[in-house]
Amino acid sequence: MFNESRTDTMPATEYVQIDPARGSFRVNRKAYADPQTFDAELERVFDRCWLYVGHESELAKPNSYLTRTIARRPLIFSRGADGAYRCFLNICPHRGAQIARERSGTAKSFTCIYHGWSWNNKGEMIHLQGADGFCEKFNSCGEVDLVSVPRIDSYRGLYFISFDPAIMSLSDYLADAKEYIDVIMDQSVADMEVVGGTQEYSIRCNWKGLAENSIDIYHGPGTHPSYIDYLVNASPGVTPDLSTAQGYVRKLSNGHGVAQYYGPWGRPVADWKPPLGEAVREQVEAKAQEVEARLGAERAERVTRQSFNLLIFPNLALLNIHAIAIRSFQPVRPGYMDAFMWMLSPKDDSEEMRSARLNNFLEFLGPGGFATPDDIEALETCQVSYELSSRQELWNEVSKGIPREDNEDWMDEGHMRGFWAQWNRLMSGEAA
Amino acid sequence: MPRIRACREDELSDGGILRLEGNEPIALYRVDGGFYATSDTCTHGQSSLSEEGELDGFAIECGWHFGRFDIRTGAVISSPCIHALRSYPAVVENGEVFVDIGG
Repeated sequence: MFNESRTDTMPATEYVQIDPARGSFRVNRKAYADPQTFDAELERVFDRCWLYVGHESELAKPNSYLTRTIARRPLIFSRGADGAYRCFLNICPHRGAQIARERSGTAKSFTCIYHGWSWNNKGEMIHLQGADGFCEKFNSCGEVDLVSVPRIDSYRGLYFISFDPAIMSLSDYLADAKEYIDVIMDQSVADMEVVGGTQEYSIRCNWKGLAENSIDIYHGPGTHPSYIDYLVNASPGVTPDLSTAQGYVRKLSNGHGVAQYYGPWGRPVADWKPPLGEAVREQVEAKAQEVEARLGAERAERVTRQSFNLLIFPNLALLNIHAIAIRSFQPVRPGYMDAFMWMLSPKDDSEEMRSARLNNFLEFLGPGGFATPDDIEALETCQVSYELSSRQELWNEVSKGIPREDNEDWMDEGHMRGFWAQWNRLMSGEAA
Repeated sequence: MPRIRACREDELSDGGILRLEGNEPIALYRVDGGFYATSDTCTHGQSSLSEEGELDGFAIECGWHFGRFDIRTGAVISSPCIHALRSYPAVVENGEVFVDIGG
């Protein structure tokens, strides 16, 4: 497979140039700003991939639904009385009005506000207002049933959809990224659930800026010194020296990528460090023993002590840092994205543990955290330069780690080159 | 007058709706301790009021097009409904609720 080959042998395209002699991998900034590129990637990237839509726990009850916009398409993600998860366009087949108008709710049926047509939550039409004006065979082919998204499937509670009916199975698509998803989901024997609300914010930057940033450890010390200082000042015993942390980046199949490392901040599952507070120390240590007894020492080490930032191509990041964050980012315009973040937690967490997770979740990530505002500032200044690309050819460097491409350090960029290789491959129309 | 046994009094909590199956399904409501019964099918869009409607005081709002009826009389309160629901007397005897379904 192409994406398992070294990225330095890629053919040059208008977007990506590789010069092995100089160890340079460059991306044309046009990729982040050009309106035609943006339109093309909606079709060639987003319509050809599996896209994250939501977690199973968000539709815990039969007949519940939520509305989400994924890659510019308004959708209803719904669970029927039969317990099945379905996804439809939130668009009336009649004239195109928006059907479900709440963010979430409970509904056995949906009615369009424009002409009053109704569908059940399986998407089947159940009421045609003024039915005597329609031919008897009207809708005999289901042409005014709600339009179903062609593919929906889940992996360990994470629901994905695809607009490509012929796409490979979700399992094949996730491929070696499943190994990392498993590490997250194995934190507890209990199921996971999304806790609390949504962190929702917009960034004046192309969506790919956050795809890179979400798995970019290299920027951490430079962009987020205030968080490191805060940890050190608030929690004696924390070392600010990140050079001792071990880790790696790894390019995964189909454009996914991961950076794995040991963080200095502790993890509610189950790596106690001073920032977590004495109040939960005993519980965290007991949890560590439970995980080791259940999974064995080697796997327990991965579940409890190692952190990672995983990118599922194209627009989902799973941040298994201290708390677990699900972050999806949606293209709106070439220079604008909407970002969404949810916290995932085992259902059997104690109140104190959950509180520790929520504190971690809030203080580092999100629009009110120590990290995200820094990232947004950096990304928005990047976008200013990307917008120049129509007048001046400028390139991004993604070259760190090339001399050690098979054994890259946690602050290298090989996983991002994997992202760009897959993006480039889809954009140039090579078979997926 | 023929009547049917609907349920025990304590089987329907205040603000609740119970659907009684039959040739013409009936919705039995309990509001402020009183029991009321109407036909269950909206006269506008044929939805089930007990399954998809929402009770607000003595008004039942249809889940499809949001027309409303008065559960005490079946009378239309708001558009797009035009025709009233049938209304049935509901009585409580010895802790059992009965609905008179007429001739």
